[in-house]
Amino acid sequence: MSRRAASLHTRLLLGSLAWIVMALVATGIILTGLFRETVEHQFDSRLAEHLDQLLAVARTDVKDGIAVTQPLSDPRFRRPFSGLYWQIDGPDGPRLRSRSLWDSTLALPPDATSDGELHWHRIVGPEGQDLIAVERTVQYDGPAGSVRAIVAGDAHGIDEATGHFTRILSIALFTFALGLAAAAAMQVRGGLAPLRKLRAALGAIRRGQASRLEGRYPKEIQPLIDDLNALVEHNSAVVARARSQAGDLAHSLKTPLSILINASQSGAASDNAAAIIRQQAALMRRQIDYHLTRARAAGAMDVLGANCPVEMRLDALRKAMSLLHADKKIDMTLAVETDLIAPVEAQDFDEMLGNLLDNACKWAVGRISVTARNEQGDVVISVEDDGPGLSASEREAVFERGRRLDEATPGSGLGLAIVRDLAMAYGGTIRLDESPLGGVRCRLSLPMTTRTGTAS
Amino acid sequence: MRVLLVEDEATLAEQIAAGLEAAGFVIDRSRDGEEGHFLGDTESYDAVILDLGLPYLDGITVLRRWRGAGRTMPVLILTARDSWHEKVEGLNAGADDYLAKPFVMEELLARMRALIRRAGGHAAAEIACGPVVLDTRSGRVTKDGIVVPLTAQEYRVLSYLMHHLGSMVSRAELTEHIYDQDFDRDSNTIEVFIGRLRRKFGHDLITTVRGRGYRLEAP
Repeated sequence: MSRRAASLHTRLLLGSLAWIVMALVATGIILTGLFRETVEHQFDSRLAEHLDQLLAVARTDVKDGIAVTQPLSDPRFRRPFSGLYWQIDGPDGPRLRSRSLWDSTLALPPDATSDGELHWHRIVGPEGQDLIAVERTVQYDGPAGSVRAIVAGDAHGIDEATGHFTRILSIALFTFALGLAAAAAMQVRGGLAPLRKLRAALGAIRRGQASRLEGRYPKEIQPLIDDLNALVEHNSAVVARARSQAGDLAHSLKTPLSILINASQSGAASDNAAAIIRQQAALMRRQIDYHLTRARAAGAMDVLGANCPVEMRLDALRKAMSLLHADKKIDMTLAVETDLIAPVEAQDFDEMLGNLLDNACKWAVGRISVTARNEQGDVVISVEDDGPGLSASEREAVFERGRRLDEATPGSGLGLAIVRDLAMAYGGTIRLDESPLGGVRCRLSLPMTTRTGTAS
Repeated sequence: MRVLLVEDEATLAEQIAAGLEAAGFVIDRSRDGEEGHFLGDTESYDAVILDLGLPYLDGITVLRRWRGAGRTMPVLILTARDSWHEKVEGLNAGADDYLAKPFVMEELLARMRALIRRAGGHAAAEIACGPVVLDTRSGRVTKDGIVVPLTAQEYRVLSYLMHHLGSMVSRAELTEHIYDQDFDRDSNTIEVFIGRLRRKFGHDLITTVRGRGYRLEAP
């Protein structure tokens, strides 16, 4: 399990979801509280109204001191255990109560209220009902004296209403949360779309299908794009400069070498000195070629966005070969997949294929076949000839630097070593085997995805 | 055979010129691209040796201008720039051959001879006219298999006529191709060389087209 930073997508989405859940839970709690408060307040004021009505119909009486002469308007006061009750307590206990209380009484905690003040209590009523009671102490003249008038109602209704409200609210908020989550997901997706586009564009550069990041990006990202483009351009400029410097040095040495070689051949030099000069000059030339190729291959490592139209380059190479080997009648057939692009610099492509085709032309009797196609993401180019071919041990040997199997055929003997070095720099391979034509088949394979990371 | 050499390195140009002259070529030299282009555009050459890195005008541009103007003489690029990319570019710009420095003089000579021979439409390395055979690789002329020694001027005249086997070659054309541009051209000397060649190879080898020029008849 690798420890990777969570993706931006996941981060943004989780962040949004956390906020949505927190906000909606808080909303639910507050709304439920408010609703409960409102319902309780209504309930309380209705109880207070009942209490007012009770006191309005209570009359002082000579016998009992106090009497309720007419029924209260709400019929629930008369239905037993209906959940709505009244009771009038004297100093020594209950004196009057509603019919709905039947044979039970309301037991209120002792309380002292000043005149006219309403007090609320939570009490347990008949049949274990959870009651809210409101009381008021009234001072009568005469035998009635001081009484506590109480009206109590079943709080069950409040809980029920609140519960009902909470359920509906929960469903509504949950639905709302789902909607918000979907919106957040879409927003994150939409917001990150330029990054996905950027990744695709970078992939295209890496595969060699583009040389810079194209398209317009939001102004937050555009500076990054510009920097990346500048980096890509700088990269190829550095590679080009390194190449041209290595090239310049090599080329500046070659003309003096030519002069040395030619001078050694003029009569002025002794035979011995001439032989040494030629030998050493040949050695120097190999060194120059080798290090020039190394510089090229090293440059090739870091080229981003290299691409080369295979068919066009092979056509140009074929024409070049027909001129360089004009005295040999060679029938070179090209079979190239349409629009095939090799992910290498054109110079390096020419260097690899130039060497392969030149070898083929040197050895071929009359036929060379070149095929190029995309095989599972790799550009594979085969060069076959109808020449004498190579044995297995010879095939190994030809890759050695400076090794030539036939000293009579001109060339520095670096050809295949150069091809292999360049192919390796691009993460590719070169293999030799037998061709159905009778000679050698060189199979050059160049991977489409570069060695520095893959577009997973 | 008259050859234009465009090379800015003086010592190397001297060596090449010496080597080519020893092999019977006539050399005009130029040390920069502009002059080289002018010479190639106005004079008649059998072949050109062209360096790529030249002052004022680079070799590829010179070559493109010649080809664009319909100049078809064979051109060999002789350069230190020897990557295949540069070779392909040069050859596709209209060059006929490409030789990388450092080179060996024999190879340059062999390629020049092959280039001139092919430009004349001769596929084989040897051009034969009856018993007389010119080996373009070695620059030797034989009659009935026996080497006939020739002076440089005699060789140039015969070689030019053999490369244009069967065609009428005017005195002016012959003069142009066997002398370099600075030579005081007196076409009467041509007659002297023709006379010597006739003595060496037999009178009927070279036909005189009266008032117009000479022709080597294919047998």
